[in-house]
Amino acid sequence: MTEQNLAQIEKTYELIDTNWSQLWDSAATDEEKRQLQSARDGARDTFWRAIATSLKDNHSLVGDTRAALADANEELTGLIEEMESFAKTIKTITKAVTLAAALVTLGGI
Amino acid sequence: MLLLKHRTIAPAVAGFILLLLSACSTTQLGEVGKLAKAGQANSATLATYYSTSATKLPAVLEIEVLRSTLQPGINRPSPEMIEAIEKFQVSLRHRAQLSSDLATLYDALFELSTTDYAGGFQAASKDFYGSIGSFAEAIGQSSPITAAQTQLLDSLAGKLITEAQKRRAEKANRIVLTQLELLQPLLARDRAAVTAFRRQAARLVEEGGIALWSAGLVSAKPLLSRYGGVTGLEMVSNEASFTSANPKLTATVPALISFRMGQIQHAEDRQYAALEGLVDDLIRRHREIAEGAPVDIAALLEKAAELRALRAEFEAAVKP
Repeated sequence: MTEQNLAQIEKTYELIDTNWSQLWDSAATDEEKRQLQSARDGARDTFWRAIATSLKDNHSLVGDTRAALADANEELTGLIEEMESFAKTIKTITKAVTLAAALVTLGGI
Repeated sequence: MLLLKHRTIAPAVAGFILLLLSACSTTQLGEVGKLAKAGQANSATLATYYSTSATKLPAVLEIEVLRSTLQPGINRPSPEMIEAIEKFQVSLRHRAQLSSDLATLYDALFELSTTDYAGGFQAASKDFYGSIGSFAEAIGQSSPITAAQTQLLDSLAGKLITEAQKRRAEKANRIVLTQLELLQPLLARDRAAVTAFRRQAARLVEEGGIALWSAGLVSAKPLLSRYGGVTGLEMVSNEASFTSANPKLTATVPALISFRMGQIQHAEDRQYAALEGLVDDLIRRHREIAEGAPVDIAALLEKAAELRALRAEFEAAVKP
């Protein structure tokens, strides 16, 4: 279970980072770029925090959060492939990063 | 509370003590020595692997700094990222220390089974317990063994000095087996983190290389020479002017970087896969000796040879 938590957190970070140039170019305004930057920092720091933390799976909330993060990652994969709407993409990125951070916090309890 | 925390470990220790009391007489003294020799070589390889991995971590931060300069929108490492990486580096160093202490323990086991001297085993065994506890703490887990249990096992190890050599080797074999069984779940728990770290560290090196290439700061000469060299050709001296004048070639270099990094990663994956099963292998052989079953020492020696070959394969892959 711990391995699955980490796998989803890693996926969020990798999706954002490996597609960074494409995502950056699709952000049109300074505000969009700021949101994107903040999301990348969040995904990166969450991943390294997850590596350094011994994640546990002590309650059902962890499983629910992991499942929600897996859904968000899947949605994000599709959105990055299409890259049609930045607004939709950044919304899903923010959701995924928030869930990843919550998973590390919940898994650390 | 303390008993509850260690409830899964207590039966293992109790079982071990029962086994000690009924130590079988079929153990082959020579087999313990051979296992100790193979265990020493394999643990030393493991120690090298983890200490090398720990030294790679600062590179992750350096690459992030580099990318923040070369790629738009990328920020320098945050204090949180630096803190997490330092924490993980500490846990990798503990793994290296643990493996090194295991190698010392096997040295002492070898000495105990081949000479009359048993004094080194007690000290090495105590150090190894200490390392297990420190490693558990570094990965945020409670120690799998209580202070009272450590004291009991230490006292048993101390009493080995007065035992006859054959019986001494049998008991020492069981003490090492118990220690490895306590360590096994801790290693399994931390495995996902080590695997994810290796994967991302390799990916970041690739990203850093591509960022340097895209910024025009590096030459593709060594990379292209690898292909030319195999066919006996030599790179022209003004390769850079040809590469920059050929947009298709310029665009191909990142793919070549990715391909090369993929090969390196594959070689490292093979090496790590062989290494991560080492403790499981050792446990199996110690159990065989404890049960008086025939021991496949040859398989362990083959494992040591395989590890050397995989290390050589990895070094060849990373060679410029």
